[in-house]
This record gives sequence, structure tokens and C-alpha cells, in this order.
Amino acid sequence: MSGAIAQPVSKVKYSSRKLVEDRGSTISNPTAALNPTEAVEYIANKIALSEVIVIDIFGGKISQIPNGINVDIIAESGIKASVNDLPQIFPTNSVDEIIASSPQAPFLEQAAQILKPGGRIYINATKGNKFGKVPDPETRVKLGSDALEQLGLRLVQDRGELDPRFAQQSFFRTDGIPIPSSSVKTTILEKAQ
Amino acid sequence: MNIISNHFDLLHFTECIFEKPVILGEKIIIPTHQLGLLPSHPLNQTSDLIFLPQCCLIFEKVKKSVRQLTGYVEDSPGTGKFKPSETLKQTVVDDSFPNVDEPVTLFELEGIFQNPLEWVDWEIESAAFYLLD
Repeated sequence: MSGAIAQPVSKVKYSSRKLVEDRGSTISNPTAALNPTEAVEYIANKIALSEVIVIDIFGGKISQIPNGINVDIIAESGIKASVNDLPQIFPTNSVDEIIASSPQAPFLEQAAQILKPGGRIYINATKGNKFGKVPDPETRVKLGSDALEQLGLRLVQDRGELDPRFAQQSFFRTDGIPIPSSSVKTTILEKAQ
Repeated sequence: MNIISNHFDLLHFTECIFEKPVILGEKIIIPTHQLGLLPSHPLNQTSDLIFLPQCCLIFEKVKKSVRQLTGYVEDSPGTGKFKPSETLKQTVVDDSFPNVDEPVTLFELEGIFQNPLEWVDWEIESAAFYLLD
């Protein structure tokens, strides 16, 4: 590459480019994806009905998480939105559980804000996925080494074996090549009560 | 040509394509494609994750290198879709390096090899790392 600074050949604007095949059986919302504005009302209704809210961020086109609400910039089902939209869609302390599948961007700040006290974040990522680290390098730069404490998060499990509840899930590179499940680890965070 | 020492924590490997590594004495050179650079990396002046089309990862004063390889099988013949095969796993250990007296750091890489297609989880213990762009 010429020049002193690398030029972006392809860029990820903090969204998932993950290619996920339609497996059909675990579609959380079979209708077309909602935009962030539509999603606000959708989520408000769920909260009014006291429904348990589980979201799958970076879920790809269609979430593989049963009963999970897909949130991804490429979503074809669920909510088509980025991580930065989360606080506009979900009120503070409103989400029971957050699953981050092969994260493609920093998300801990937004996730911590909308997660209920006592709620958990499950991060399924390979060891070399820097956005799967807690805190990820950018959040560490922004908030410091005690970023998790500042966000009110407690580390329950750091890159342990893939949680059995995700054993049937498939993980992909952005070029569509599947990642062996044995290489995907689960990190669990819990928000302080 | 840029040589960037350290900043390993600002490299994103999941999308990498590795070529066959070259081992020269206590050094491992890994020609690499599609290496992700986080925004704080010296070679990335954007606020986005960017990818280097081509570079070399160079580890010096290597103590050990372990590659966990997982091969792929075609989902159905002729489809061009592949899935990881649990029966095509192998571990390659490179440990015939000269003795390194200096403290080493564990570097964790991941990505794929092509021809044959393999996923690799790669651990390298070395005293120094730099990126050659």
C-alpha cells in the first residue's frame, strides 16, 4: 500500500456485515424489519405488556435466537438499526437480556444503559474479535481500565466455552465463511442491582 | 512502507486471510490479507474499522507457535458452500526456535488459510511484534 496512512479499502461503520442464512425456524419477528422510529412504539408496547425483552444485537439479517429481537443495520427481521440507536429505541433499564453475536463494533456503553439491573449480556465471539473483549479496546481508551465498573457491569465469565444455549447457532465471517463453533467463546456480564 | 511496532490490541483478525508462514530462525513472518485496524491504530486515521488489503505480521524472538486448524467440507457437492468439519482438526506446533531469554507475550490470531480452506486459532509467544505494511 502506498502512502503513509492506510486507506480504507472496505469499511465497517460500526454495523454488522455478517451474512446469515435464513434458517426459518428461529425468526423472532417474521415481519419486515422496523426502522428505529417504528421500533420505539413496538418496544413501548412490549414494556406496557410487561413482556420479557431479549435482544440480539449484530444478529445479522435474521436472528438465530429464539424469542430474541434482532437489532442489526442489515436486519431483514426485527429492528434495522445500529448500536448507536439502542438508547433511542429502548428506555434505560428496560431490557432483560442482551446477546451480542460476533460483535462488529463497540457496544458496551449502549448495552449497559438499556439493560435492567441484574440483567445479563452474553457475548459470543472468537478470541481474535476485539469487539468481544471486555472492555473492548475503544471503550477502554474512552473510559479507562475500569470501564466495566463505570458502566455498572460485573464480569461473570470471560471467554468460557460457548454457552450450551447457543450450541445450535451458526457463526460467520463477513464473507460468509462459517466459523467453527469450537472457536467461539461466551463472555457473560451482569449489570449491578 | 510502514513498520508499526506493538499496537497488537488494535488489530482485528476475524476477517484475515493468511498465507503460509515463513519461519526464519527465531522469526515468524505471516503474509496477511484483510487485517482489520481499529480507529486508534497509527495506520488508521478514520473513525471506522478499516481493512488492510495486504501486510505482513512479524514476530521476533519467538518461543512457541501453536496453530489449531479446522478444515471445511463442502455442504453439498457443487454448491460451493462449506462448513467446518470436526473430523478435520489438527494442531501444528512450531517449537524448534532458538532459546529466548527475554520475557514473551502471548499473541492470539485467527483467520483462514486458503487451499485448502482452514480456520486457524493461532497462539504465538514472542518477545516482539510488528506490522509491516
